[in-house]
Amino acid sequence: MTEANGRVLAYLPPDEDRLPDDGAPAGHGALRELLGDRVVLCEELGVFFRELGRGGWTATLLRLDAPHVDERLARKVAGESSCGVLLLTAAEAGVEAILAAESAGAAALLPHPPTLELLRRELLPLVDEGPGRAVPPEEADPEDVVGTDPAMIEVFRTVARVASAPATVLVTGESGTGKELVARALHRAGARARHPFVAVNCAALPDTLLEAELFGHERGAFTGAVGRSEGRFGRADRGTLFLDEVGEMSLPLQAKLLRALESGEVERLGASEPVRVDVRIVAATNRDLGREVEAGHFREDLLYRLSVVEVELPPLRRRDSDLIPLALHFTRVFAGKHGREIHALSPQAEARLRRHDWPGNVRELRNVIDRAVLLARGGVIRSGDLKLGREAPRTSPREPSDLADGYPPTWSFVEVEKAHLRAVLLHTGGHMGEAAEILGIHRNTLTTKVRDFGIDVEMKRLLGEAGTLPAPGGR
Amino acid sequence: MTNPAPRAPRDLRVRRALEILPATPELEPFVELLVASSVADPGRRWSASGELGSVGDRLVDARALERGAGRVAAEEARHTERLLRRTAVVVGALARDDHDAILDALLEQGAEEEELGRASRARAWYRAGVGLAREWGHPRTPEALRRAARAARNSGELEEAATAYEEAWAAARELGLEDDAIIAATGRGNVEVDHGRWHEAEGWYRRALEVVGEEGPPRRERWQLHQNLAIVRRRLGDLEGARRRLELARAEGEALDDPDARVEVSNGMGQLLLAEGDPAGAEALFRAALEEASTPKARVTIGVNLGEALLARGRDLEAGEVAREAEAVALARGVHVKLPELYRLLAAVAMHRGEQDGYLLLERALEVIRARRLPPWEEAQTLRALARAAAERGEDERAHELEARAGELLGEESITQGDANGEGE
Repeated sequence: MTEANGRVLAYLPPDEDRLPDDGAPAGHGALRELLGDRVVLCEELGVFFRELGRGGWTATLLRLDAPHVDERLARKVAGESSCGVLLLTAAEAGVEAILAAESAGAAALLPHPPTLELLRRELLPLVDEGPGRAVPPEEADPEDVVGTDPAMIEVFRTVARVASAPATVLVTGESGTGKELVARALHRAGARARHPFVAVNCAALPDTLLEAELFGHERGAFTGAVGRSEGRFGRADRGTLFLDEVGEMSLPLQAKLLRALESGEVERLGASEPVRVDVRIVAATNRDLGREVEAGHFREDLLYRLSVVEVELPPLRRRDSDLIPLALHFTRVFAGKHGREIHALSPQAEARLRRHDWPGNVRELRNVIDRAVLLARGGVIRSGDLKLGREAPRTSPREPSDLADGYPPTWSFVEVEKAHLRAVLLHTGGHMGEAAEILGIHRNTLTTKVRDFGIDVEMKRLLGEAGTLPAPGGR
Repeated sequence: MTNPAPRAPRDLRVRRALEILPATPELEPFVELLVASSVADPGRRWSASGELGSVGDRLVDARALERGAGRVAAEEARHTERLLRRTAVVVGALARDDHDAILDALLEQGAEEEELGRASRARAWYRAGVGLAREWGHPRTPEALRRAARAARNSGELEEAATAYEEAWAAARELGLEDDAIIAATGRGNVEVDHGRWHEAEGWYRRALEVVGEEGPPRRERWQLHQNLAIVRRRLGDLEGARRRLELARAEGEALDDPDARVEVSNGMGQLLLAEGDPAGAEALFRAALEEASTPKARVTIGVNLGEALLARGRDLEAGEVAREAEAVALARGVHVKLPELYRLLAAVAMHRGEQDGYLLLERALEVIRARRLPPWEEAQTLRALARAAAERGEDERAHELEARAGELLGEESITQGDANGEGE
């Protein structure tokens, strides 16, 4: 990480009707009190751009409804590599301002003038983070499991402890957490490292084919059985067989797998004699196999056999300290793969990564960075390059909960419509496009309805007081 | 082992639903709806198996089926009503010995079945038309024959199609019916394309072009033939010849002021650049073509080509995304003929990303080819891709057998580059 200087540039000009002896423009006092000489306050646009050009700003605060400032200018400022995280302020944070902030790629839209409390909550964390992260030099192999989060350290400890033992290992965790990488690490660190590591995805094959793939077949054992196949068990002899998504296997095949595990022999389809195999099994699943047993989808005895040792991989959203190092790791990997010179992750990009929920875990992060490396210009990945789609809204403390119980039967259609529009807009954090999509109406229709019902004023109050409106990451 | 008591339901996949449903003709529209309304499994979006999913792994959308079943039933009722009315017309006209009216009704019915994508039913109506037209020596005999040929081709009956096209060609030449002759020769060339017999295909396309004339007022048939000849030249490895043909197709398309022609020429140029080793140039052309493409088939075709260009540039992630978008269009809009090519691309993407089970998508492609009776060229291409994957896994015996099977399906001159696309009618 480059050295944090925590400097903020602000263009919050005075209102046009301000008198010479009215004192400092609104917002200046709060900024000065919070940041002291780490903030440069500009009252003229020319001065602001000159300062912006000097570079090295951690965050830039720009008043969107100031004279000569509009969405286009805000977008231009956000596009400057020297800008850092862009925050906008506006006295009237209505629908238009929300859309403009979204379009400009601002991290937040704050009510103007911003209060000390608001700045402390929204600006200070960014200032403390510094101007950006440099991509580190080569450290880990692209296929290594990367992580320093305590939960991952525990995973590494377990892997080290059991790698040399013959015990069957069950790796659990959500999709995309890197279960196969852990299985490979177990194989590499164990006594079977010189022998094959063979993987099979149990969810990717229909049952009939999975059986043939696992146990092998003789020539012509079934329609389409071209040649003889020794199967994955046979290929993994003396090595490791990784059974990915084992929870998807059908019950009849589970019985055959259990028999193979118990006897150490497999029966090729169409063969008369079983074949002895020496294979270490590592299985993985994103399902709760205990529950699958209860539901009758998974054999309890097989679960017992597979989970001699269990390794649980945490989801990425719980690996706070790993997110950015992983992002930088993938940045280096994909910059190398695509022949691109990428040397840093911008503060906005980092902030955007942190705000994402990562349902697809490390696999999703990997894809996001792969794409961002191709889109990045000027050697820096910016938030817009991440194409993360719309953000989940920050939770508003005022979010109504009564809607969950439905509407009173005495309400008119108009009342129901208004309440529903309000609920959807709160759900999307004020994002009009997303709200229109959910409602199944055109965005212009939604804008008209929002104005007609006076919801724009209400939204300003609810979302503005709650803090900020989230900006979309990718447009 | 514990004896599992009542099992909680899991998501129903298309593969499972199709296994259960009886294969009766009445259910065909329902099966099409089931496939078209299926959705990608969100639970597998980020799992390794998600990358290896095909149509069978998609989830059945029971609510969409319930909503759509009524619509499909109403469409079927209207279709049946038209069918019965036309049949009544046929019988009435037979009583009056009105040959024109009979052939009108039979060929119309065939055309309606074709529009609904039911080639085998269309084939039956057209064949009825062929029998009577021949018996009466009617001037619409070549038309009935070429239509029957097309329906046979789309039903996977390639030998029957070839014979009917040749008969249509001969009859049209004898009667001096130029348009029928052009279409018959083009269709006959397309059958050769299905077999991967490029020289034979070229011969038929040239015959058609002789009838159209190399020059003259702009004609869509001339544009199509230049386009088809460019494809066979490219497949034969003559990239310069392919470029010349594409330039002719471009000029003809511009004279026709036909946006679809412009799209196809851009697509053809992109394929040429790809074959020449310029995937970046190809990508730009495919993207431009995709912007303008108006039909689902064009969008899927160009989407596959764009995916190939992206993969050639090492951009496997984007290639996979583009291919999945094309797959969604292909399934929703019934462009099943492109599915094998799509799954070959997705297999290549998965294997490029280090997924050793990527070849499973090739198995899925074979399933589609056999279920839909798609051309041998498609099957051979898929078998060859499977052979390469088997060789990479060290399964040499299997690789040789797969390669030999591909060879059996194709003639000696087959070339393993490019994709099948030679519709000329």
